[in-house]
Amino acid sequence: MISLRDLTVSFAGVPALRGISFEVARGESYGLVGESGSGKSTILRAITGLAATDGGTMLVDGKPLDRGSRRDIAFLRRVQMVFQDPYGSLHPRHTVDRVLRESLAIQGIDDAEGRIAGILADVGLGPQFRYRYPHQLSGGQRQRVAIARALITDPEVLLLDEPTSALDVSVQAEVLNLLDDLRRARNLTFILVSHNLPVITHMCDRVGVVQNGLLVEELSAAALDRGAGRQAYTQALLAAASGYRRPERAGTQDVARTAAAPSVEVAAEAQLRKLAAPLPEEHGPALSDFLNDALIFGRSLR
Amino acid sequence: MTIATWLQAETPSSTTQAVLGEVWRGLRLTLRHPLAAAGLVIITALLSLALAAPWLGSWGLTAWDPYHPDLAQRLLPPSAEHWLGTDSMGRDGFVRIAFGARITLIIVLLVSVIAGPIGLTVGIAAGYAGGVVDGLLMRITDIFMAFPRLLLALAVAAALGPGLENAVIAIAITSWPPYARLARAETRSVRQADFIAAVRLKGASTARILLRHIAPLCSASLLIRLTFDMAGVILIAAGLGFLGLGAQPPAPEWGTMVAAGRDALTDQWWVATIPGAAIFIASLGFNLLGDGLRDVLDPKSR
Amino acid sequence: MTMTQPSNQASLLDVANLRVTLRTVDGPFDAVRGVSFCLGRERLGIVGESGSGKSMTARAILGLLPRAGRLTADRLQLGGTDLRGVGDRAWTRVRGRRISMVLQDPRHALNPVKTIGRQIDEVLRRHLGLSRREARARTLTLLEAVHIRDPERVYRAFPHAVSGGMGQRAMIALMVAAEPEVLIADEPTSALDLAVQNQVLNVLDEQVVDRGMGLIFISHDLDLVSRFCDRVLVMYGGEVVEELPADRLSAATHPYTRGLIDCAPRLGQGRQRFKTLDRAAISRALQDGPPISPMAGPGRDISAGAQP
Repeated sequence: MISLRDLTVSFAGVPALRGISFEVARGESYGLVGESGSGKSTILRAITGLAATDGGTMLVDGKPLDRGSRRDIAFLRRVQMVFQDPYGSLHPRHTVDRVLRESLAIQGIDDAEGRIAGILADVGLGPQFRYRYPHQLSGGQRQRVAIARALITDPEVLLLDEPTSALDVSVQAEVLNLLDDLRRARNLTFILVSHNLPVITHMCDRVGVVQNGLLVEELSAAALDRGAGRQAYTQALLAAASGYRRPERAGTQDVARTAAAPSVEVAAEAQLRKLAAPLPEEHGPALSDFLNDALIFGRSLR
Repeated sequence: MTIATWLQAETPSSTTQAVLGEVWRGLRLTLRHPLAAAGLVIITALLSLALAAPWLGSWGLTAWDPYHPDLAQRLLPPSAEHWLGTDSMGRDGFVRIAFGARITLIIVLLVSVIAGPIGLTVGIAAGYAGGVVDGLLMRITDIFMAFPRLLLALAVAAALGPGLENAVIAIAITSWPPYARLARAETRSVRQADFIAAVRLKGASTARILLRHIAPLCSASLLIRLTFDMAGVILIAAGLGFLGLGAQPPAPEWGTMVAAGRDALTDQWWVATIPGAAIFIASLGFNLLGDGLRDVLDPKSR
Repeated sequence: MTMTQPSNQASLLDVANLRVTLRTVDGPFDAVRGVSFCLGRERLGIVGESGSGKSMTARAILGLLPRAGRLTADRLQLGGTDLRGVGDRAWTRVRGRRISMVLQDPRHALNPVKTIGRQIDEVLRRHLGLSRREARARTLTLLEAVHIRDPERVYRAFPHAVSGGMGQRAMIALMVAAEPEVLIADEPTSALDLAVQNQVLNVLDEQVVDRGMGLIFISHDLDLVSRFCDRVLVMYGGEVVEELPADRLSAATHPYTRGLIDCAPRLGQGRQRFKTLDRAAISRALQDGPPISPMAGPGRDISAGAQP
């Protein structure tokens, strides 16, 4: 259904994507996981034309996509996106009804009344929400409206850019369940971007791990869930996702604990050394700070 | 249910109810600030006076005509019969102030209706297009802004000749640049927002985005600026009138009235002072209202 | 609800029946409704979702409520000082010196037009009366203590020029510089990448334990708080609905706490649906009565050298 080959994107000379290739089958749920700044959101923006690409090809159902920002109305009918920030994805002066009505009008779909009522029910919002403004809605409700807006024109593909990262954990659970239900009911194809590994493993069939603009590993969600990542970076992400661990203070050494997971730390340090070697200045203070600190703390864990 | 309850309903059941509800909320917010409430009261009083002016006679409030001279009654001080005294032609002061309010408000309205949209269009176009178009439009704006407002208005009015319409044109020409700057700044900050990207992904044309999505967002700060500027417009109009440009006698324009009363200032102070006070009160009212509007329309106060 | 004073340990912070009401256009809103707890030399976590009142509680303690906010409390004691009656000028001697707060985003919480070193110097000179040279030396020591590898560079740097993790550590250094008794951390790691979070938390932990401070750690992340803290308060709708030791979290009984634990996404659960909150049960539990068996007094002292 979706096929990306050697996709490269750069912003003002700084490379954001350095040759991304993967495929998503129709009806599949594909996850993209990585830290912030890894480029995973840029992939979605390239597909939708919100970011221009420098190289590579993108195919949706066999049809190639334009390098720049032009997307024809047929493409927009098939592919839609849900954005991360619930507080920025709705126009502050438009009611929910206006948002949905406009989406239908642009695409030339009639039966606005029925469709609006229907989609609101599908996303779990009753009719009382129809004429509210965004500032009268909670974060979770706004995301539901964003999902309704995306789905009201019956797309086949839904691109989701961290759709629940800004929501409370309890609301996130409800919204993710909703997305899963909608996917099954409408046989949608998902590309879900998140930095949160457990969210990805719950929601997706296959996962691509993105680091610094490169797809370093592709594996099934079940494998990731078991912790079976082969690349060092994947293992590092899994280690970080296991939560905070209080390190041993100076004095007693917990031999058993360090022996239990040497591979994670060794792999992580090896990876860090590889990254630290050529350190171009233009990456700024962030990267060098992180690496230095990681090396310091990495050693203190021993 | 009462009107207040209907307006404050948490779940409006139509767009009309939603919009009116927001207006009502804004009104209540405005009235919470004593100064803004004072501004609202002043402007409302001004508006009422202006609207009721032609019918003042038929309501028995006064039997005086703003235009008809009655030299037997000239230069009378304020009394029970002539609330604000009479001018050098024996015309009742109060009636002339009332009719002058009409002229003042017409000037303010016309200038707003001309300068506002011009500034908005230039600003939005510059902000959205960017690049060369932005540079060109902003340089034109800079040129207009480089001239002192009163001087430019004088020059244009002098070139066009005396008269109310020419005064309006002159003031409007000098008034639009700040709105262009404002609209451009708002457009640039809103341009990257997710909700703009979302509606673009639904297939909205650029025209639709500019007109239906960006323009309404600029309108808030534009309206606030307009309200503040109305005070300045009143003063410039009065200045033009004072200098003999703008509305010509016997039209009861406040500035002209001040000029006419100049000679009698020491003995018959009310002839010049009362119109001057009217100018002052009207300007103050608009300034206070502008303050209140800024608090109401500023999204951060929600 | 009465709190018994412990006999063997003085509490650093004593809060009883704290209430915060906000004046809004639509009427008064009770953001905090009768929160009570004691803080000793321990790590106390306050967990809640948005709207639970946890941040408002912190601000109330520090006297940083918005103008529309009103505070009432039966008791609000920092050591021997009643924080309810502190005037504006007196607050400048309390904040930073006796109680301090680390916020979420260092780019917004640090002064953008002053270098980091200068800001820490100011705190030292103001609260501890150090000379310029002494302050500079102490600042560099502080920056080293929070594991900043190149303290000279960070001393001269502006907040926007350092990474998130480094800025956060600089903020921690700033906030502990005057050696307060109590430190409040409001979502200190929420804006950071996962990889950096652990480092910052370790720094926070070291500072708290080495200096014998009491720490209030506010977060929406129950898992994190249960691993990092000693005791946990769970807040919902402005109230404390449950209070329990961090290592006994699995024995939580309140439906909201249980719901929070269950609905968090975890690895190793496969593709199953997320559990969601049973909001009806939570409403019922809230109406039924006061929270389940609050602990009387602060928890155990974890400062270095204290008896377990």
